[in-house]
Amino acid sequence: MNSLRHHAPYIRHPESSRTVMSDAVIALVPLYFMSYFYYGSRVLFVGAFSALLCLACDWACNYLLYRRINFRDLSALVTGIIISMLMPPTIDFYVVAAACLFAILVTKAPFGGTGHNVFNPAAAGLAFATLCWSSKMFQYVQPLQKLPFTIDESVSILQGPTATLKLGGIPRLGLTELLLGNFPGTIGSTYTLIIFACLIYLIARNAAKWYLTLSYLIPVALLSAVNHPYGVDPLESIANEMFAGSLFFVSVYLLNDPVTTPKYRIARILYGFSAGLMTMFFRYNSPFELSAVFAILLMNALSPAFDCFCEWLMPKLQTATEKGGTNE
Amino acid sequence: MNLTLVRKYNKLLRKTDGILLHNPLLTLGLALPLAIIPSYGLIGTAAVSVAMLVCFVPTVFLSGLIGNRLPLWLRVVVYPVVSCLLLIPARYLVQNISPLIFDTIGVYFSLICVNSLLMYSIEKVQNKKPVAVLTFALRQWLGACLIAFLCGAIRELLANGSLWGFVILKDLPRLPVAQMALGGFILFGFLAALCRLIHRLILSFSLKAGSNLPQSSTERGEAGK
Repeated sequence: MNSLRHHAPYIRHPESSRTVMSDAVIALVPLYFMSYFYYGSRVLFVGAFSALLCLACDWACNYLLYRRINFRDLSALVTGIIISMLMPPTIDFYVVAAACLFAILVTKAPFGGTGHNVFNPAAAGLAFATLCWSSKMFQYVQPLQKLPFTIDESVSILQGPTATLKLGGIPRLGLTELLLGNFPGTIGSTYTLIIFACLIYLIARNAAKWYLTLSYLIPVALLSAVNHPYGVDPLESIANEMFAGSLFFVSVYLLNDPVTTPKYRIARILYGFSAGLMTMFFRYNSPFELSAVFAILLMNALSPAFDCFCEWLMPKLQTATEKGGTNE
Repeated sequence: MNLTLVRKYNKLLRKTDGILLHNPLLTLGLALPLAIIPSYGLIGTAAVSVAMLVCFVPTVFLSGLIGNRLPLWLRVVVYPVVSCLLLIPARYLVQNISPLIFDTIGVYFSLICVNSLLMYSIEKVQNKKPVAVLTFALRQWLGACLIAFLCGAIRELLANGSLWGFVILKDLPRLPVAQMALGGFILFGFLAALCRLIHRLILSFSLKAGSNLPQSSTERGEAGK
């Protein structure tokens, strides 16, 4: 008799690690090509270098740790593309390499590889690069120019609108510019309209949760409306805070990481809300512009606590509901 | 021949217990903040090592001499106080290494008097002979210093491209995070993993060598019958 022997759990689900990660890759590819339109071929090389390095590192780690090398596992590719998308267009290749190596060698492989990492590898890699080379990480250029492969003195370096906001200034960007990402920023995280379209695709494919992104954006919007600079409309302040940096990108791609988010819906909402609050706290009180990444990392550490809280809360809620039903 | 090598290795491990085997930092994870935060460079590591030699080794030796005569609740108080008193001469010695180092490292010098390594060692030497106590204390100190020096050298080299303040790597990109506590903890994690890997490889080698012996003896036994 032929019988198939599989390990538990016996779950049949259309979504697998491969489908979720390939959806993420599909949702990242438009941003990758849009960056070529804005900055030329250099950013394509940065993206390809980052993605290939992450993949090679992941495979090498699996080989050295006697784990099965799964060529269908695209999580390292997603990590690499996200890292490159959150880097400035003028970034040196060694900074990208250090971020990728840190992401895979320190954050992913020692914890057990794909599906076992406590922290989001891309967020950890970016945080590492920010701590090491903070001056290089926030040097932006004017879009719609072909950057040379080697960045020299002929390229004029600019400050991003997030830095202006941090200093209490007003970026004065039009809505069209904000939606199209036509302002100095990172390689691929400023194209709000495209990111929004990708978010819809990810939600339709069940690779992202709408309530998670929304619960993250609500505290950001509320705090930026309350704390708006003098002479700026609250709506304009919300738009500046949400779309003039990498915050919206982080809320779509990093926050919806299936490995590091909590498992229950209520826990996810709490997680997103807390991450939003922490992002704004870091934005007002930290020296770095990339506050969303640090907030996500902090929340990754607390993710199991949210699940535990939910497990404690749910039976109580259920009991209360049953009691209410009996009284009626 | 393999078995001879294994025996030699085991003998070496027994002799260097606390340095290679059961290293207080890498294997037991004791006094990690003390070893990581001041060891951002070789000068800081040397200062902490000298201060530890003056404070830690005599205190452990004293605890071995007194033994169980002091109750546990008193031991926990008395030996850190003794270590604190020894910190006064340690300060003058450390200032010879670098005049500003005591102020630079600050509170971490005080941690030499109250840390998990001291408490562990004090309790470990309660029923030992004085010579054994002294060698135990020296081995623990040497094991901690060896790893702290290695870590300090790597961190200084990565962050500044220098060793003991002398620039060695001029044109290579620097890694400033190596001098932060974050970099120290990550480096320690990798060193601990490397240590475990080496030990596991040697263990598998010795198991292979050991598995040859009973088989051959059985064969010999069967041949005898």
